Amino acid sequence: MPQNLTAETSSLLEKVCNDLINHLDENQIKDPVMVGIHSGGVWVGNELLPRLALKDPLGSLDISFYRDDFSQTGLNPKVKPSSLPFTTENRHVILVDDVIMTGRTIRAAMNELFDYGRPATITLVTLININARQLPIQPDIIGKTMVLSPQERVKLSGPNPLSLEIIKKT
Amino acid sequence: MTQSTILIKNGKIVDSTNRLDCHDSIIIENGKITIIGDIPNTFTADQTIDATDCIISPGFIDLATHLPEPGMEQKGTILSETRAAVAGGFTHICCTPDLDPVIDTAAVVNFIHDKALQADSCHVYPIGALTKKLAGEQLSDLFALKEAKVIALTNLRKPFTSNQILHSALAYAATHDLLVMLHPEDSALANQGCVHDGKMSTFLGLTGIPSIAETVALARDLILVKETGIRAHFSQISTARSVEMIAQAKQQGLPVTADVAMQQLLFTEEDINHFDTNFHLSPPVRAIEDRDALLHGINTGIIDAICSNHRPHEWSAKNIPFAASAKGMSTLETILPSLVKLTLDDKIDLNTLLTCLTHGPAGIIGKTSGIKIGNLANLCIFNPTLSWNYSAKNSFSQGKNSPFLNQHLTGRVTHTLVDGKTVYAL
Amino acid sequence: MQNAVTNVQLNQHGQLRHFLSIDGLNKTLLETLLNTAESFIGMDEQPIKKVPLLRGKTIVNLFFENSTRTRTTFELAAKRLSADILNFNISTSATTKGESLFDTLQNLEAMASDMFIIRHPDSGAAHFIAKSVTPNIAIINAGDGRHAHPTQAMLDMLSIRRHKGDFSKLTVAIVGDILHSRVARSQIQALAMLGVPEIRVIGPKTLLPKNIELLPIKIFHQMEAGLSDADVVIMLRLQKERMQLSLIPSEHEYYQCYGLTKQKLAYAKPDAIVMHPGPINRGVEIESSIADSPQSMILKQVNCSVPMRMAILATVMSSYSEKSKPS
Repeated sequence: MPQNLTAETSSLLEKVCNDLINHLDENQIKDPVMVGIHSGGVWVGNELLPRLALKDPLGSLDISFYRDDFSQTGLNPKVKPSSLPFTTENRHVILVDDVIMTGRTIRAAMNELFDYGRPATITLVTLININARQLPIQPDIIGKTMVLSPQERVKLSGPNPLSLEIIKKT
Repeated sequence: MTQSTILIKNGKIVDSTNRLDCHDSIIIENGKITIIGDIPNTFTADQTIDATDCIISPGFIDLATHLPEPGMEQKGTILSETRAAVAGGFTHICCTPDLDPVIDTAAVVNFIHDKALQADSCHVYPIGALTKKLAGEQLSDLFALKEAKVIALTNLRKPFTSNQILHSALAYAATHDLLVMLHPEDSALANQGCVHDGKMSTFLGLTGIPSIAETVALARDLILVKETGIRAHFSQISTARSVEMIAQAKQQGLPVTADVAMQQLLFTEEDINHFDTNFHLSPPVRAIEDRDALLHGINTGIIDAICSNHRPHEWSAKNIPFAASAKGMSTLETILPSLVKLTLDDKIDLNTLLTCLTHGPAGIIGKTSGIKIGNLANLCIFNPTLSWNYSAKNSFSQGKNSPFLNQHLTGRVTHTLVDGKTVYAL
Repeated sequence: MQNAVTNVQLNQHGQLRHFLSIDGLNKTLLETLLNTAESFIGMDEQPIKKVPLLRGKTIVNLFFENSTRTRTTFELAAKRLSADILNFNISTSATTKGESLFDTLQNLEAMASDMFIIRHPDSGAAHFIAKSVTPNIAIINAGDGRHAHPTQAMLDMLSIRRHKGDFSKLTVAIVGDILHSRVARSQIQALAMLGVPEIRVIGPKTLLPKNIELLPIKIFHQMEAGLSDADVVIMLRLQKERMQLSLIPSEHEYYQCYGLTKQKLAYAKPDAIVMHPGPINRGVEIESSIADSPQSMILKQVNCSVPMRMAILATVMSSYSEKSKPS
């Protein structure tokens, strides 16, 4: 039975949003741009963007071309073009994803970001943190840290409504 | 050493010309058939061949074997290819003149005769070149070639520089009562193509040889045959229209005969899928309608013989892109099973098939053959239902360029006797 | 001959392991390739025009026939995917004299390359090579004789889709030497596979293949009727050799009958686009002012060529990943 966390999702979003506003204030980050990682990160980004009242539209990254597991899994056939409708050069970038686990997706996303220009700072926001890191990458803002058994995975479905589920692999 | 007496028993003798279709025994003494019929149990022979389940046919005669020797020994030798011939049931093969040197002098004819004698497998009848070096410019010394015992003359598919040369060649050959084998193909229309100009040439982007390359040349040749009175044999016709034209010529009483190569009866352009270079052939395998018309030609007697068009090649000649690969297929050892398949599919009956491999070609080259008391025993004994795997290991031809390689075949030659001597036994 | 070459090009999961011809592929595969190419198109505007997808892979451009343009776009595509690329220009006269094509390949295989991109003057050469090399080397056909030029056809499909959208509503006319054109052959197959309802070819009988009725096309010998209401006009290149075989009398007469002039283009739809695989013969195939007009896609086609080839290289290499290996 998948464990449904829909009710919890909106409160998590709320928490992340508040923490992010505080973080931006504390670090005196002005006029940031927001980039979501396809597809869960884009959904979360679309929720956060209006609450932060940013000037620029949300950017989206499809990191398929930057993944480090091409030799193992090949190319994702549903790859979407990345779209950054603003320049990232010298800007503060808020990078958003739904879940951080190994850190490899974030590594690929940062590589891709740097191919568009040199950002001033990157702030990493994830709704869920699962401590199974394989790379030294830590988010700045986390909704919730979860501990999963090896058979469990967390999945965000969306965009309307956004809903987190824990799925047990059979 | 020829054994003095051979007894062949328990087989079925099939020889339509000599009206034989019976279970009888044959006794061969000193090379000749001496008895056909019931043999008393008390008879003892030096060699006994048990032909249970087998058919005993006159030995097969091939009108077009490309022996690669002299000049192309990397493809095969007279020894290797005559061994392949007897393993395929052939007792006589006519070899084409496209050698290096070309068979345009008595010396080359003698060389081949000598080598064939040494090889001691089947009879080899060289076909001489109608023009020197097959260049289509200057006549070979045809009388000298006749004296050296060439079986016929041909220029293969090599063009004559003008119709005047062709006309003159035919008239001169007629003077000496020589048989000419014509391979009708207009080389300009053939356009250096490598496949039939049809569906597959369109799909695969390969240059096509249109059917008219053959029929235009055939029309011209038939007119010249009538004009010169030459005894003409048309080799390896490949189109439906050619069958009609040969039929008409025969109706008009022209002294013409025709054969078809086994490839044209078995395959069509569709088989060229995947650019399989085994199907890079001259003439090309054509459309299904052509194949059906050729089968009809066999069944109605318009076409007199089936030839092997055997052309062995070394591995590297075929393992290059299609158009650059060498033309031809190694066929001597698989003719029987592949044509037996046609009899099983009711495309042709066994008697007709055997006639086209024995009496048909014999008549064209003016030789007598057949299972008859007093004749030399040139026989092919085969089991039409024996299933076997044709492989590089069990094939004698040096050329492994066959689509049948590593395929299961049904029908296999078990014994071949040339002039009363067992030259091949499975 | 549908599916004539399926088993050579696809692996057991239906993924592309070689890209040899359009024939034998399917609509889904072509659409995936087009979508992937679309994702690469934006890269031209990035400061760093490179993704690390094929990092560590070695690709060999093996050209037995000169073509600077095709070779350089493949080279650029490979470099933008971070692959290492080697260029070999081998004149066929050298191979026929000395070592055979097979031996040349064996030598190159020893360099531990992952992919060969082949251009060869013989039809079927890419198939031959795909069958001859070890199974872990992918083969891309960059043009073989008169047989196929599937990557060119795909980049043309990308141009058409970007400018005309839905294939299922289009009338496409291909003009010129269909008989000797590997591009036309591949284009016709790709257009048909992508669902173009009306594909026309226009040319004299001497430049159209026989049995063309077996292809999903309509034949025209006059431009007026053939171009009528067309959405896309593809002009083919006329080779000088065609005059030698008397297939057409002269360039002048060809231009009169089949050259694309403003007047003839007016038969097509007003927003029709004009394409040409290049290099163009101005005044033989096409009036100069059309080649430079906004209707002309000739330069825009070139813009599609690197992203399309990146998509093909990446998709083919993808089928060699661990996940795609036979179990």
